[in-house]
Amino acid sequence: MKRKITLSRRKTIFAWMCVLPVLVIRLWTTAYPVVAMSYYSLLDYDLIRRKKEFAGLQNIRNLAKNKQFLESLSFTVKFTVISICFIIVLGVALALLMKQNFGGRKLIRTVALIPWGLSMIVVSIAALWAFDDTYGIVNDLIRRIGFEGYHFTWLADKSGAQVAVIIVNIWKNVSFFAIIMLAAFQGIPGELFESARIDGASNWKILFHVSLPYVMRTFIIMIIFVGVSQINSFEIVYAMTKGGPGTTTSLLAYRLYMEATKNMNYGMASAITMVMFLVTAVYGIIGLRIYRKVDY
Amino acid sequence: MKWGKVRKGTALLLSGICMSSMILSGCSTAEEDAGAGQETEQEEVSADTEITVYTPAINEDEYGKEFKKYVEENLDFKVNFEAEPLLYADTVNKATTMLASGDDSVDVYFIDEIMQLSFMSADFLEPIEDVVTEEDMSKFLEGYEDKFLKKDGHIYGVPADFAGILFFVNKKMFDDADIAIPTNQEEFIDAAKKLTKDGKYGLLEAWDKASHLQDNLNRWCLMFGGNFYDWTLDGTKEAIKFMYDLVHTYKVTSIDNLSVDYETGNQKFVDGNAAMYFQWAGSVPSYENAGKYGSEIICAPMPEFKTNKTPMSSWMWVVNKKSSKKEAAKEYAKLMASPEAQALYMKACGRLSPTANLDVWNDSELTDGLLTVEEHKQYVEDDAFEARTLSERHSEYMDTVTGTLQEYLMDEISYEECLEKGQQQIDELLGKN
Repeated sequence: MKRKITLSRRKTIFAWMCVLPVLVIRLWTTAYPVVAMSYYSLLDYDLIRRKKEFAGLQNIRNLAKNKQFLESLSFTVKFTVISICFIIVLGVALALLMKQNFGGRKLIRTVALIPWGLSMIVVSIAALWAFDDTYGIVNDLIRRIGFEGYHFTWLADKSGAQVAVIIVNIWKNVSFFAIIMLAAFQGIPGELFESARIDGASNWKILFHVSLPYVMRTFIIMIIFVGVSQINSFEIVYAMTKGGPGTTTSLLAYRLYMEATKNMNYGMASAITMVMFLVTAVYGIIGLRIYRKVDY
Repeated sequence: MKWGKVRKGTALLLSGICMSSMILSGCSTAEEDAGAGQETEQEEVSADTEITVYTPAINEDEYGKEFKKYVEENLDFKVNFEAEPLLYADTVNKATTMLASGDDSVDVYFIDEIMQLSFMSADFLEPIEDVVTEEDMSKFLEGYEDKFLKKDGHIYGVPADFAGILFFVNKKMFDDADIAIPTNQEEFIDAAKKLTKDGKYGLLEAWDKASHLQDNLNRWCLMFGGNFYDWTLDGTKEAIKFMYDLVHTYKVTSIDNLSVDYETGNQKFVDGNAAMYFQWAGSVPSYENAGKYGSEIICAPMPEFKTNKTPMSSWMWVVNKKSSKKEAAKEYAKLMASPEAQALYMKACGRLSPTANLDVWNDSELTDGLLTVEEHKQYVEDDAFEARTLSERHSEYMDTVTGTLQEYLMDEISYEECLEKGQQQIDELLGKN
């Protein structure tokens, strides 16, 4: 006897057929590379040696004792944590500033958006010149604000290069964070502020007990989003420092690039990608768990 | 309950990865990935054949038009020129990615020796000795062929240019200070010291990690009779110590050189921020465009330290092993060995360097428009040029070994630590092969 397909089942099948092309593309462009990368991370796969054989977890073991990788991991953590902290604080401050009513607000908003609109590679190349000891605007500005005779070779100093890279990164990313937070702040109903003021709340109390809790979900999503992009940052060191001096600014993504395109060691490059993937996944999962717990 | 779900999810994920790994493990070997054993179906050469050549942009000026016309007249098929990125690192990335992925959209690549050695080892390139003969190769610098163009008896490339690291000096600064251009180590240090004043340095060095520090290390090692692939040699040790002394002892150059690449360095030199600069001949067009070459900036003979040696280098034409138009691609490569094509190409792409084909150097008609030919002739006469010592792992060398040297130059590690760590890194990377 022929089974009759119900209307809801037909709808489901139709819906699946509609999304199938997208799913296939997604599987091909996302799932396949992830699986292939996981597989390659288990291989001794080096094009220069023309070698491709199963090596188990050897690549991961090699990474664990590879000083350059450990330095990259350490700087990536430092870079991500410091960048996120400053982007959050400065981003919220900038969003609150742009929310205020004052003359020139439109100009401030436009100017604040400029770094976001620029390509990271352009920013990094400009920063290379900005931190130059001869032509650099950074040393010049410091001298002009009262530190006459100031001279510091930012990109030729271990800490200086790290600080320079982080400053540029923060400068580039703050505006995006601020614009999204501004949109979230603007969505807070005015009555909430009025009630708080009637109850005698100060501006700080309104910020911490009304504004931030109200935008907490956007805030957390933004932290996840910005954090993930920081963990995977690449262009900034590629154009600005090439990971130097020494290996002090070599982010994980830069190390991965070196292994893949310069050393042609796909096994090692995949193992680094695996580490980055896991770090990003853990960070994302923790963020999403917190996000789900927020109830406002 | 929740842990049960997590365990189930993890087990599913792991089994998925294992299954996929098992499926993928039967896919290909490294040699198959690189193209070995897989013959690409070949197109016969006809008037309809079109090949793509990956090269620095051919200018739209008279030289560019003349070069394209020459190619058109001498080949029975069409040649499309695809511009390489402006920056060296981007060119390496793009070429490596395309070749490693088995891409056949480009038939002929224009690459340097560093890429050439890696690509020959990775089996990305097609041997061309059936078209480009030993006779064609006899016109180039002696010994160069064996070092960079040949592997296992096969020829893989046709060199295009001949560019050395030359000794450039700001003549005006020397004249103003009434100092003679140095000819040996003692005079060099003395001049550098005297010219370091008023915020200007006696010497400018590009010590950026990308590529420039290794070039300079190589040159200093040659000048001290060392070899930058052997840090146990006295000459190499002396060169490394000398580089450190230039910054910290003699104070004739800035530690900021560690962030100076050739582009930044050229600007500083053109602006008169330093009196002496060892730089590739390819930088001369930028001095020329600034109206400084010949009048203010000149090329001087290499000063004699332990030796007067300086590296020379060449970029070359190679054929993609995955190309489906290999015959046409090889014909193009052969044409590029001819004196006319060599000279025309150097002008068309704006490099203006002397050609790899040494016969061209004495043909005033062909060299008209090229720069530093006479300077190169003088260097050859002085026996100053030496082909670089490189390895298949040179890109890795540029990252790891020069990173160690930067640490020493920054005073992060001691001289002894630097030598030990550097040699260890060299041994490791050479031991991988």
